[in-house]
Amino acid sequence: MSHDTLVRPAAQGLPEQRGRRRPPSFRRQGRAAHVFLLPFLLGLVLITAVPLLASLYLSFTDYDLLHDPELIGLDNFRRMVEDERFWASVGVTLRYVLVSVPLQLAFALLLAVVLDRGMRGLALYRSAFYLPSLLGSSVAVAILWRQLFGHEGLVNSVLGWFGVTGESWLQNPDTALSTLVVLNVWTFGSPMIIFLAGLRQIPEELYEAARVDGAGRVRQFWSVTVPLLTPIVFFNLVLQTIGAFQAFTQAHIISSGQGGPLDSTLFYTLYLYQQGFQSFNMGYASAMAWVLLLVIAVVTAGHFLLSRYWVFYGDER
Amino acid sequence: MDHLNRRRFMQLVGLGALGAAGTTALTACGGGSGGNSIRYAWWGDTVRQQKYTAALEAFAQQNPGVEVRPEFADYDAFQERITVQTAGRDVPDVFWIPSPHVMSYHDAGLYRRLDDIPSLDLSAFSAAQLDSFKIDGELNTLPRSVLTAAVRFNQTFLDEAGAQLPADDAQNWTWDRLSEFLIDYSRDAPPGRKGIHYNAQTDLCFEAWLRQHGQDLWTADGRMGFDAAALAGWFEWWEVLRRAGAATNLSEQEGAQPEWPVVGDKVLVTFGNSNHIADEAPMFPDYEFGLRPMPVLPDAAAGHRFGYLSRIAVYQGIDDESVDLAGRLVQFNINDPQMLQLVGLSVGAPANPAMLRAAYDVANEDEKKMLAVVERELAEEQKPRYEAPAGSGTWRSIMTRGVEEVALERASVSDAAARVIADIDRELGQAS
Amino acid sequence: MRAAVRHVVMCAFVLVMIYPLIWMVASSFKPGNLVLSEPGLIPSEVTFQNYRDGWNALDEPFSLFFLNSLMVSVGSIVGNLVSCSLAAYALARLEFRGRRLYFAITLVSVMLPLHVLVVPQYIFFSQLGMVNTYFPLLLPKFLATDAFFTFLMVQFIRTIPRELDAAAWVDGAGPFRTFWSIILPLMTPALVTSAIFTFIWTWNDFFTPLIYLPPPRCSRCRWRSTR
Repeated sequence: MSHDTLVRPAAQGLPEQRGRRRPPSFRRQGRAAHVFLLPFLLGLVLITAVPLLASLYLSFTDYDLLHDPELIGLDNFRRMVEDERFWASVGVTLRYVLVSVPLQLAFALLLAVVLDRGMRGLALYRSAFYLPSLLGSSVAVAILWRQLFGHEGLVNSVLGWFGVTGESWLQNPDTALSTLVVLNVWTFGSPMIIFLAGLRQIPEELYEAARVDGAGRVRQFWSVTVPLLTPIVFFNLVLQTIGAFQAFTQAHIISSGQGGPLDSTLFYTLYLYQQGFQSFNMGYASAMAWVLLLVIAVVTAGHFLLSRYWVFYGDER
Repeated sequence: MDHLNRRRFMQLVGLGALGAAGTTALTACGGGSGGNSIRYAWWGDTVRQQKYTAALEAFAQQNPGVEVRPEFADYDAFQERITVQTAGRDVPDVFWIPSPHVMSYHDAGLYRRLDDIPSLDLSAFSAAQLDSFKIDGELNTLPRSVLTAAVRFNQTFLDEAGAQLPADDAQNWTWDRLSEFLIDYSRDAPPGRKGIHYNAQTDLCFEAWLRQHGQDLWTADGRMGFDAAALAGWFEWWEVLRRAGAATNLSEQEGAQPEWPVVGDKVLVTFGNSNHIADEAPMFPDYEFGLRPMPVLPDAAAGHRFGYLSRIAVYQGIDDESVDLAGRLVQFNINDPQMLQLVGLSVGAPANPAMLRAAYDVANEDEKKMLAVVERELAEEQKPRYEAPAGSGTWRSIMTRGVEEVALERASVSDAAARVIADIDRELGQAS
Repeated sequence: MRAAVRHVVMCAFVLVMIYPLIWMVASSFKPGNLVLSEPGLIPSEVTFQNYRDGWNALDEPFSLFFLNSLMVSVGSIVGNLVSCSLAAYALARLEFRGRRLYFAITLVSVMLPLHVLVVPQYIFFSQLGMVNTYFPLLLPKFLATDAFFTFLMVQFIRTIPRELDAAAWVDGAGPFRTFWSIILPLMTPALVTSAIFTFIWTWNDFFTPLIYLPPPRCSRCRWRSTR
């Protein structure tokens, strides 16, 4: 598969309309854009910017939520360097991001493609696969996961048939994180639904054009489906990565807010939460949040830079 | 200078608020509470929610024209919400105080003094009792109830095994005798049954251990009151049981904080708070449970007995015209038999001696066992106990990690103990 | 034949995926003390008590909470669909100064963990006197603050070949007509997806209502005995 066919195939079938002139004029577009963006801009100023900037300010303070914040310069950031649990949480989070995001997306993409290829009972399968996502972050998951991975859980029962006696997977520091990866993969329904919507949106004309060019089904898949789905893959990749960096709820529920055993599921935001809401070090928590923001921003910028090489947009000129 | 900083922060936040106020002309239905309306915040499960709602209804009936606005949530959510409310200076008028934050809230000036409210009658308490409620010499909270550390045992299991606990007297009811007994019991116990759960992080029981050893959990000046040796001794007591197969391991009990539904039919004995029997015994209706005070060292330090007070407070920033009503509501909580009748005893025994006696009339069999244990504990000499200082909010988590290190055999008892001490010390240092 | 094999494989996979959920449903018919002690699917004792209790657990019947949630969820859907699709169209299609910046800010706003925003946000809304109202829940949705959906719609719009709206422009349609009659119909899958997610996430959101709607129901939580 040459790089060319993968990235630039679809425009073949459509009339080329690349004039120098941009109808309507740049200025008119600018005015229109700001009308479209009015709610967004209001939200930006009123809802988003204020807390964002407030938290930035707090990151340079000692703020225990009960007393007034007190400026302490870079102390919070210095403290991070020496904080063992901080680094433990960084390790846990990186491992989680690197493993669970690709796994979950691969699952979601594979099933979306299989389901989309004229499978009967699509709606039924789709709902079934989405069901876990509905409950993925409810308190019931704690009990559920104990039923599966606990000392007397289903997994150990099955292992028992083969004469293997297992310990609770949730209480072993070496396996606890893996159970959370499994939980994340289990809730692949959200990215899958987005993939399915993306597949739905590919205009039938493009397939027709490809057929006119004599492309078979496999060829159509690689030259139409894959490139046109790349913006959606990109979306899922970017947001699932951001989401994984911020993973909180599931670890919070399953480890009762502890991140245990022995900090093996102490996600970055879980530690941040403990610092902010349990130790009342909201200044430190805010500093941690902004460090996380910088890291995610760099990773996301990297995604965007790399996207030039593999993401194909229908509006590219 | 604190004020300057606070003002700047509020300005920053308020700036956006003003902008929004300009664009959106909106009126809220909330706002401050007037003289005939009052906010009451508490935590618990849905059963407790129903009982307290009924009680607040009764209070409203006693006080015509009064409006009570309940703010209820489960324990963790309650803490999150009241923390956020505190930051926004929008605290409920009357609220329960979660144990880790008694001193933090006090330092933040959240409590109003309670000894100058005419509608609040404190005559049921002795002067000594009132003294023991004070924080930094000020009477600004009152106990809704008192909890003690206790040992609960499954009488049904004992009968099945034809066994008897060591006699309940100073010579026999000791840590060593209990340990030996549990090891003996576990040796012949039915499969899947052990003597005790592994509950080394239960705070009241640990505190009992410390006080018997002449130490304290916290000191008057807000420091740790115990050393690595006492902690190591505590860990070792549990490790002996675990290594002998007399305590469930962390895998069997799903974690360092064993939950009752998981271990209820796996173990003979559990350590915990005396009030837990009220909610937990009914979860295994086929079993009969007994309750005892903690075992005692043969040479236990004098005055080691103690009760933990669950406190209720009135918000410092309450409107002046609401103070009288708040006083009446607190009065209703701690002094009114009708309240007791409606809410029952799941939060523990009343600290008010007259109410404690009245409680026997509304208590069921299990709750009577709790009342008896609490009465016995309180009847004995007690040296003062101090609340967890600000900055100690996470000491339980630190303790849990220590327990995990020990019980998962990742660290020696003495190393783990030293680490717990160092970590708690660091947290306390950061807060001050 | 191949289709049949595929269905068998898929069904098996579905079963594995939703076994835990089936177990959960089965558990809901068991008496409370058997849930953990009797892990099998078939309960030895069947009860509907859990539903009866759950429905009435908080004094007010569950149906009231149901209605409240439904109201907030539907409001959120409308808000998100309108505000996010407008913003997304501008960010994806129109050319103007600051476009990249706005887009970057949109993304940055999802990069900060919620937990450090809660307190400033609360102070903000409480100074506006909006605590105890539905505004803190709904207002953000109508102001396109959920970058997830804005970005999602941007990506979907960008998969639509530009030639389609260029053609509309040639016909003399302005940006608004183009958005309404070309883009919006073509991005139906994205709109449906956004609606579903908004509904579910709002429905499951516990924290925001906890903080902003302290008395569970503003109007139903007071006892006026006389008067």
